[in-house]
Amino acid sequence: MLDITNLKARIENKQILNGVNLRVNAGEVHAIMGPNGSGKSTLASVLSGREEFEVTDGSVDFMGKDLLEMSPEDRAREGIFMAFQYPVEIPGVSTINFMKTALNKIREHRGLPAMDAVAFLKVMKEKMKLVEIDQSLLNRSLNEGFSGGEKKRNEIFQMAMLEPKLAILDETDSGLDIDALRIVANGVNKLRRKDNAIIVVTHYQRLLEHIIPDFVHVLYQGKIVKSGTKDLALELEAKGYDWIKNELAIA
Amino acid sequence: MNTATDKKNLLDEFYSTFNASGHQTNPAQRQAMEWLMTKGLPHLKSEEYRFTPIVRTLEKVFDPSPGAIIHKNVPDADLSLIPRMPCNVIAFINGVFSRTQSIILDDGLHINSSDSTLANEDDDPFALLNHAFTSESIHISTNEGIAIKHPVAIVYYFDTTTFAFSNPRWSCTVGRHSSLTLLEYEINAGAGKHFNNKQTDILVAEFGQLEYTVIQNGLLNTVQINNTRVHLASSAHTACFTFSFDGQLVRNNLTLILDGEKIDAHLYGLYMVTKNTLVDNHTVVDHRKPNSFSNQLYKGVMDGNSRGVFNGKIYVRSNAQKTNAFQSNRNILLGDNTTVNTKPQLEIWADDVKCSHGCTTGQLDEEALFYLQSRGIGKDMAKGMLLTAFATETVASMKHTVIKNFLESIISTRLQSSN
Repeated sequence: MLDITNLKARIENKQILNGVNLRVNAGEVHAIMGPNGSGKSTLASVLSGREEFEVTDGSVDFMGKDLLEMSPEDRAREGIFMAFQYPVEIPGVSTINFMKTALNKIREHRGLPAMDAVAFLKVMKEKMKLVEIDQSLLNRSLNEGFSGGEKKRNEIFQMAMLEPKLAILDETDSGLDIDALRIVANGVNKLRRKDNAIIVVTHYQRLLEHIIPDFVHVLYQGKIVKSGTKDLALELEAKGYDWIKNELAIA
Repeated sequence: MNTATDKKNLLDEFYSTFNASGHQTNPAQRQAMEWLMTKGLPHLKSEEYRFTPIVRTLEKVFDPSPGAIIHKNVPDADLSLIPRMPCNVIAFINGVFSRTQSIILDDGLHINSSDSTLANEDDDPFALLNHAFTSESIHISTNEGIAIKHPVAIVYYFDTTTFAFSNPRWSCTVGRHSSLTLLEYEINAGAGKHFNNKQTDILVAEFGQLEYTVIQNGLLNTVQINNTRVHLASSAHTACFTFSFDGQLVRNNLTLILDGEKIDAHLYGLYMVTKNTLVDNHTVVDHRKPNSFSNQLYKGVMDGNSRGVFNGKIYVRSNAQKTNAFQSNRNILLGDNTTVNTKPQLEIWADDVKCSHGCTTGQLDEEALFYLQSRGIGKDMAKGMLLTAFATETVASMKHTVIKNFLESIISTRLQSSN
């Protein structure tokens, strides 16, 4: 599904990604971990098409297409979804209207007819249950005055609505208490299917107790320096990142 | 205010036009003209007109020998701005009040005209100019304790091929415990440029309610000055909305005098302009008694080479304790050649008050734009959604839903894209 080859990227004059290689297949959940400043969020940003990052080398193939050539909206229409670490507050635009517009743009891209208000509400109500989000929240301006937990639940609600092929969860656990974390993780788990994939970007292991990854990668100094199974996340939790840094220093 | 006269003597042109007009025989008009001659026109060093080269602009368009004012009959439908909305109509045709074109639908609503003058020596020069050139004042009033059902539309209809110099004047009294909706706009049917220099005095009596909306759209290359004063008595409630969508130069002086307690005053403004349009909003909110509330929200969406000016004065007099007065001016600059000059001016003599002001001028929020794009919404459409949300906040609290819907549709048509 996703093939990242030797990806290098910088912001302004600061090189952040130094040759990332990663392959994600349909049906898989990959966790990307690493110490602060290792490039985790940059990787998520580059995949979703943030313009402030400049790709200096490498390629990203998504379902046979060159992802890096696409605008952010085309990436979304092709099936990429990023759950933001810091979801934006947008006064005057309700989540419902926003989602209806977004969903119909994606359907249009896929050759599907626009969904009418009745059908949309029906789908919306189903998806609301997944993340235990209340409709009154969705009638309000997008994320405006939402608590941290509500914002993250809204991200997963949007993911449920748009049914992406590849979802990238950027530090979705940050700022969540344990109950909110469980709700968000349950939502994500219900969305796991054989034909989609998820990349979980996280600093801590605790989200991975709920969303069990198939693979865990350690990103350090802009490269994936170690890959393993979910046991690697446990090892990182127990030992911290220093042993990996030491291993690399010795090598 | 500085009083130096202008190099090219626009003032002299006004004076000779005045002397040739027949207005000079009326003592009150003559007095207003003399005050104006003494005072002079504002120039760029005049504090109140620092960013608005009004004299320079008028020099380019003003024709001292305009064609004769044409009194013509206009089909009623041509005077309406919002289709299928019945209105009481106060019509000014090519600058002159027309009783035959005016329509009264509602009981309890009265229209009178008089030769009264409201000028004072220390008035704004353009207010004096209005009084020099117009003797007739139109007075709109309501009975007490009545809700006037239909809006009163104040229509300035222009259909000339040559330059028109127009000085309409009207006043309005909203009676005690009465409510009224005023809607004011221009219709431009001809190709002639004009200078519309308007003067308005409104009184809202105790417990009166007024919703007053000014729509400046389709102004073409005209210059417009609106001098509007609103006096509010105790427990009056008023909301003034000013929407500026085009024109060459638009100057809105809106003064609210809160001369009573428990007054609720709201001022909303939106200037959403492009090309070389200059829109200048000067507001004054004068709290003279305790326990009143005022709120101002002015927003700008600037494109092309357009310029915006916002100057918001709030006075809280020494006995106006427990005043709540708020002001906010927010601007989005879309074009590289756009500018906004904004200046809050709070003068507070009372000590137990809550006042705040804030202004922002910047670009569209890139992070919000990216957020919408990341969900599959194209960049242009996302921009349109954000701008529409930004702009429509100024109309959100409007009570008259037909006028509100009309404005929302102008805003979204102008700003939205389907890509």
